[in-house]
Amino acid sequence: MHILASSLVSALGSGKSEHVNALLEGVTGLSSKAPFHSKITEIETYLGEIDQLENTLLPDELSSFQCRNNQLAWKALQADGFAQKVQALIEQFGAHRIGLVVGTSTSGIAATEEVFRGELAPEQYDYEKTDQMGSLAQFCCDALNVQGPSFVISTACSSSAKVFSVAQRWLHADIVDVVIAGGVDTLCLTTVHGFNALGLVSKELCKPLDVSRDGINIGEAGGFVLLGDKNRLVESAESSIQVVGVGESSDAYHISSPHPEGQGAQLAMQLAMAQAGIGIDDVDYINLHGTATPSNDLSEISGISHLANVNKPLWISSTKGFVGHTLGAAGITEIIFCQWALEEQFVPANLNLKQFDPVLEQKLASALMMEKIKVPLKTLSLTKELNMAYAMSNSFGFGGNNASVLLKRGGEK
Amino acid sequence: MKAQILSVGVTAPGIVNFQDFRQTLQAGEAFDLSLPLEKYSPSFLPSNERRRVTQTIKIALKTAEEALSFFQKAFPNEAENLPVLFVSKDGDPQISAKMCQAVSEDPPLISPIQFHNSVHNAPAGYWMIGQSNQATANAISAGKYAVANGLLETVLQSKSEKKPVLVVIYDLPLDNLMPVDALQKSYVPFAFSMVIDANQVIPSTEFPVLSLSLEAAKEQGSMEEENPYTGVPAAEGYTLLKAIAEHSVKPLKKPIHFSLNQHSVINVSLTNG
Repeated sequence: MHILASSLVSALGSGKSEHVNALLEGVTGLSSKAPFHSKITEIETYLGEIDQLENTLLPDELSSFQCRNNQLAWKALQADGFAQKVQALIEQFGAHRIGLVVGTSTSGIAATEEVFRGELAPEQYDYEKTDQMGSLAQFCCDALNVQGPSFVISTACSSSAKVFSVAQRWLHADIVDVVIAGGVDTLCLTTVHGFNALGLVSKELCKPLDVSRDGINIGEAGGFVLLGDKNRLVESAESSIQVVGVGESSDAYHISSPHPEGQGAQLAMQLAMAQAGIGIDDVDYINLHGTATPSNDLSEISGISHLANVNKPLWISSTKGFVGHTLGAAGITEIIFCQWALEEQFVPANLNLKQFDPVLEQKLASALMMEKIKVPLKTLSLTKELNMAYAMSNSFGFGGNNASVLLKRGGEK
Repeated sequence: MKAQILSVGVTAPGIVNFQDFRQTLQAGEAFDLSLPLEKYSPSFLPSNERRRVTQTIKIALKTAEEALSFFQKAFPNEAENLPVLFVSKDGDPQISAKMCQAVSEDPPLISPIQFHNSVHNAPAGYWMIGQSNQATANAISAGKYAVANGLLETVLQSKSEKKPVLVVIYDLPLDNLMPVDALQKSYVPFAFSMVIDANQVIPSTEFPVLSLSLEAAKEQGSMEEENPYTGVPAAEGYTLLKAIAEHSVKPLKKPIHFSLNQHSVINVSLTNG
């Protein structure tokens, strides 16, 4: 399954070049003085807010879908000419042969919050087209005139990684020729207050893998990829990146805490690699879920330490320090980061890491992996001699819901 | 696309389980929608988790448990740790409404339990914990097109994982607090479940084979099958459950249509394999 095109909007910007530039330069999109802070005066934290998102205009015929989440979906569909590429495929294959599967954790719940807070008149509010969990898929299909199968996956923070598995199934069953897969999640009060109630929100910039990490920074993002596996499609693809493995698992441990030994994480990564027919020694880079909560990073690093000894260097990093934790959009955001990292041959920095947590170090050392693991503190540009072919992205969610997606650069190796 | 139905579960006001459903139909009695849902506690959950589950999670778990229990008794040698798919339009309507109300108050207080129970995959998460099952767990929403998308996804997932899959399609009415019209708050809950295997046909089972085909939606919906549970999307499953229950005595004369979206339908027919 090939990535034919992609688009992404986050606190770092809109489209590939703004994101790649920020990733290369190590510039964060997180802020302690974002406009959304005015709504949560009692909570001190950093947010990955998209500038001026609320001013995004939906076309008249889609105006009943008006809410922050669908505004971001619209903005992301316009980025890098994504919607035009979809139109070309509709002309080629027919609208009914294009499927659409998207992830979100909270859909347009912000609209309902606004009604409860007296900020939005009930007669200007349409529950079914905003808050309702399936509405994101409906909005995207209407916006693109896509008529194939479509639905929303909502498994908390693994949502928009699991969409790749659905895309594989649809293409394999030949019920579609192309799949639009993606995810959109936007800032809302229930999420910020909910994570705060769980004690998982950091007052400072999030510090994945650091000894003093103490929680997440919440962000928002919307991203889409076009996926297909037909030769004629692949020839015209802009990207040479393939999705070669998707692994899904459950922790079966706790509803909001990950398994301390990372059993579910390990299983998801193993299944993704098994589907690709490779082992951990073939993987060059893992984009961690790396939320910067004490328990997530411990669980994830434990899971990696159980994979096996690595005979060659393995880069790992969390990009949460750039965009924050974009929740239901974290999967698609970081999978697109992996796509661009493979295309442009760089390893994104793990921002805000000052002192690697000795407990994590011990986990890796006991598996004789510590020397092989490399965590770039600054984004690393690769060379012909030092390049990468395989990158894997991890996404784990509440309910112990895990997904790993493995990408491969085409051509050599 | 063909798939063997291996077990079925159903919960709604006036329907305790699939056996009860079949008996009511056989007796030619009407379903009493005014009855409360049967009391249920998920005994397979550790006590800590059991205390925390909401009404929505209970309906989903009860219906899942019915299909799994029958499956395990009927097919003790079949694969354990089935992948699961939970399908629901709104997730947990009561918790969503309570959280939106909480963030409109001063100070805005959301309880940690409420928050982690609010995720759309909460029933899936509790189910996997209770069953010590580390397989794939999915939670989707296809809006009002729950039945068609749920069945299609189950069959495709069973094929790709080469295992039977447990699907639970459940919906509750929107909460009274919600700023929506009264109709959507007046519906009754409906949940049904199936274990489906797209990899083999088992002629000896008491359930028929499900056969799905996709086609463009026709102008006029031809199915006018009587359904006392009309309302939430999951309740569309009533006609399919009725056809399954009556398959041996009154086989379907024509396929049942379920809308996949505005443009296409899935035709469902039942055969003996």
